[in-house]
Amino acid sequence: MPMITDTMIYSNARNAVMHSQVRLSDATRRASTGLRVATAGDDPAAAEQTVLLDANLEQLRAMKAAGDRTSSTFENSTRDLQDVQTVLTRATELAVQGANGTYTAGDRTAIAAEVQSLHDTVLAIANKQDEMGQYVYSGFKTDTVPFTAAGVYSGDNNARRVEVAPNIQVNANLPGSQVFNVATGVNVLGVLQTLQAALAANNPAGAQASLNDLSTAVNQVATAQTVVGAQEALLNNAGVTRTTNETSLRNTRQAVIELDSPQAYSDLIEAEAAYQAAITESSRILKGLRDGLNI
Amino acid sequence: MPGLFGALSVGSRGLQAQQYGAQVAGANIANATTDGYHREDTQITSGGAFSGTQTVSVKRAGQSYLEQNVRQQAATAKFAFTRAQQLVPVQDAVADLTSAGLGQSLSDVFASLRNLSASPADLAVRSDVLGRLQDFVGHVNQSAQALLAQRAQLDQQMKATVSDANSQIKIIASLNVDIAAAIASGDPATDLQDSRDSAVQALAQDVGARVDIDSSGSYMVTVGEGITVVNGGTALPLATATDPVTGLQHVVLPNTSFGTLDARLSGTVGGQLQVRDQDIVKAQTLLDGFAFDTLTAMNTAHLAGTDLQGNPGVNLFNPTVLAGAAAALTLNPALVGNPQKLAAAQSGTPAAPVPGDNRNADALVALQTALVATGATQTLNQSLGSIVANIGAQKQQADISNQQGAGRLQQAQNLREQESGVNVEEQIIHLTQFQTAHGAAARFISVIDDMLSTLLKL
Repeated sequence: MPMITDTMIYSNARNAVMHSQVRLSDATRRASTGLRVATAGDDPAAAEQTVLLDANLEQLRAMKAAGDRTSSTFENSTRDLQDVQTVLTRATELAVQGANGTYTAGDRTAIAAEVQSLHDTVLAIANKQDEMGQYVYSGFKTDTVPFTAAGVYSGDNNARRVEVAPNIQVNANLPGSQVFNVATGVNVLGVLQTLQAALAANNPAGAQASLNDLSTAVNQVATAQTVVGAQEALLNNAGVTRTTNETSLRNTRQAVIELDSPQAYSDLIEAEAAYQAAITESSRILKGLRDGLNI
Repeated sequence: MPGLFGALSVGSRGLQAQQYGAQVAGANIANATTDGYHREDTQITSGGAFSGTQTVSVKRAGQSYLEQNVRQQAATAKFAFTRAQQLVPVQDAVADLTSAGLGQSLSDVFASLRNLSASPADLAVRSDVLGRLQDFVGHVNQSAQALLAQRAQLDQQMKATVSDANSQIKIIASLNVDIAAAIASGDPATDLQDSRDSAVQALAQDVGARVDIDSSGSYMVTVGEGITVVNGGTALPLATATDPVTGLQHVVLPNTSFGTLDARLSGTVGGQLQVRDQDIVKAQTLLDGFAFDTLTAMNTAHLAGTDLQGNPGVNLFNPTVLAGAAAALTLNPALVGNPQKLAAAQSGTPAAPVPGDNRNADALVALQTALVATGATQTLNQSLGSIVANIGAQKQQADISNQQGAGRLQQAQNLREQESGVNVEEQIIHLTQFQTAHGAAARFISVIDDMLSTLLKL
């Protein structure tokens, strides 16, 4: 029969208490942090997955930030195009008036002056700068004044593509060549200048001739409005996609490294019970030893 | 047939023997919890039918194979304990899962590049990109420095442990001499033997140790599979020698041809060397690989672009060598304070400035999901994930070994205890036994005394 020595009894009792203490402290940490995996060593595979999930979540957050930056430019473009349409509607009215044979030369001079101011309004919009001093409608060449008074375009045809959700990119700017001077359409500023010149020269036929181009210009700006609208819709969709992705990533992350609370608490209670049992049992054994010796 | 006077001396020897036995039981009880104490068993041999107790001696309980087992398990357990403990800072340095980790820092870089893509001409956004790049560099440097610092620290700790091992080696050699002398003079020297076993145990914990006992009872101690460090009264202490390349210490045995003993040692030193030369080196290699892949991919992409002034892009990061990339990583000084030098555009050369061009910023953003790491098999984040998985697995394995080691040591100690430990109840019983026998011996003397008196009255 193997002998049980006092050192064994004491050290076994000590080990039992220490072991259950470690277990209790682990369970307490888990329950209080809500994390099953707090360090890489707890579960290397889960930790690796967490790194990737966190990176994806951060990526979505960054895409949202980039999307937020572009959404304000869309709002500005929408307003600008609206203003241009208002100008073109008024210019059409004025062209009709100017073409009317009952109007006098003086009337046409007055109308010409208003058309000039309409032209200047459109020019100001077309050459608009953002808060950084960059030209909004010059494509990539944001340091170049895009339009001359005659509507000659010095920008380029490029749009900045910005990723706003996984695999969803929007055009963050509208090149002036798609609004104010379209190769297959008309030169809006030029049309207004021609109209102004015809009116100033008291030429009703010239004013009449502008009406066709003005109508084309209205359609051209409407097309640009559709383009911006489509980009805005894309941006809104991106928001939905991001939210869906984020929810799914968060759920996965939770499943991978977080604890479900009931489990955590039942573990904690179990560990507490084990600790109590170890303490009670140890003190019972040690008391038994002392009593046996009448100490 | 012996006379009554002879019987008196039988009684007296009996009294002495029982006293001796009671004393030994008392000593056992007193040392019931003394570390390294071996139970002493009183051995009383009969001198023959009429001569009573002839010899009384103590025998030190214990089996050398059980001692050997405890030493071996202690060395293994210490190795595992040291490794598990020393891997914590390694894990913190390169596999931090919190928002203070490398992954977050890399994500922040890409987030700022996405802003750059949306607003390529915005100087505030550009400055933010530089700030994030700088933070990232700082993070990578910090991780690398933490590993270097821990290596250096382990080097010092290892040297201190070797020095402790050498103290034990000298103690064992000198106790070998003392014990031999004591035994020669008839003293069993059990306390000296306990001290010697404790010293061997300490040596085993430091570097691992094996004992062979020669015929005279002297310990011959070997470490690292057959390297003698104690031979009788001769101590052959270990030493440390500086590696000319790494500047780190190797364990050597002076005046021998063994060379470095590093890979042969167990115990605390073995654990320290395992972390210093294997685990940390692996972490460094992984971290350097990640840093180099990142800097290579980003430099390549950035060089292809054009900055805000129409100049070609420059390297984002220095240096451009793999070895030690993490510790040496810096942001190209030409960029510091010059946010306009970030090449967000992708225009032909010679180019006029094209501030609204974001195509190269996009190319940089695209690196977030491109397979540019680990020989074009992983994304940068996947490579970070692999580092976490690798270092985590190392730590997990070390933790398991540590638990197992502690369990096996406990088991080995229990086995030894069963053989050589003290059970107080048993000793109390012995005490009672000796007390009763002592009483009986005294009674025997008094009976003989009575008998003698009777005779003398005749």
